[in-house]
Amino acid sequence: MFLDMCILSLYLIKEVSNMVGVVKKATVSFNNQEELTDFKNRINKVPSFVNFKNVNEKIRKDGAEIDRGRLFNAKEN
Amino acid sequence: MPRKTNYTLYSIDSIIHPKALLEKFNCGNDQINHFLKVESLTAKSRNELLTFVLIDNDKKEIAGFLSSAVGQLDLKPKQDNDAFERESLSFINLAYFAIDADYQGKGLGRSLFVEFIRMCITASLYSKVSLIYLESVDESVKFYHKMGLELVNRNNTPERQREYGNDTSKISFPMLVNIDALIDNGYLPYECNFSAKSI
Repeated sequence: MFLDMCILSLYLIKEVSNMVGVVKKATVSFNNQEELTDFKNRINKVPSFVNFKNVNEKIRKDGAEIDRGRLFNAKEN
Repeated sequence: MPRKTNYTLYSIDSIIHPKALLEKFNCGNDQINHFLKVESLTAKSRNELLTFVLIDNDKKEIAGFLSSAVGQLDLKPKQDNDAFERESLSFINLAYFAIDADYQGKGLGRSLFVEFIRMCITASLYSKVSLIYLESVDESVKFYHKMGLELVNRNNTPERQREYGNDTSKISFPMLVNIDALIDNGYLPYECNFSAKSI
C-alpha cells in the first residue's frame, strides 16, 4: 500500500513537471519599492550607445545578412 | 567590402536529416555542442524549446543556432511586505545561442541576434510577452550588453566575480531587456506580417 502511494506520488510529480516544464521560471527579489523602480527603469531602456541603425550598417558591412527561409510565409520587400 | 555570404535561418524541425549537419558543428563550448547535437533532437527538448539553425548556403553547413522558450519572471520582495507591488512578466528566453568557431569574429553573432530580436518583437505584438531574458556565459556578457541587454543584478559582473576569485566559467549571468525599449530604439518587427496600407 505504501509502495503504491509512493509510485502514485512519483507519477503525479512527473505529470505536473511535464506540464510546467515548458515554462522557464525566474525570480528577482528586491529590498524595497525603490529598488524595484530602479530595476524597471534600467530594463525599460537600452543603453544610449545601442543604435539599431548602426547595428544594421555593421551587418551590411560584414556581409552577413540572413534570410528567414521558411520561418514565415511571406517575403519582405 | 567583404563578399556577401548567403545565410538562411531554418527551424530544426524543417530539416529532413539534421544529424549529419549537426555533427560538424563546433562553437568551442562542449556543453552547447552537446545540446545541439544530442539534446535538441529529443522529444523533451522539442516540446520545451524552439531551435533554429543558421545555414551557410554556399558551404551547406551550420554557421550558428539559437534555441528559445517562453518563461515568467516574478518580481517580489525579499521579505514579506504587503505594500510591495508584486508583478509577473512574461519573457522569451534565449536558452542557447552560438556561432560555429569557423564563423566567429565575422559579425554573424550580431546578425543572428538581430534576427532573434525581430522574432521577439513580432511575437510581442501578438502576445503578452514583454521581455527578452537569457542567462549569459561570462565571455558573452559584453556582447549582449552591446545589443541592449542589462544584467539583472548590475553588480554581478564577470569582472567583479573574478575580483572575488570565483571561476566565472561556472557562473551564469542573467540579463534582460524590455522588448518595447528595443522598438523605441529602432528595432522593427517583420513588416511582412502587417498590411502595407493603413485603413
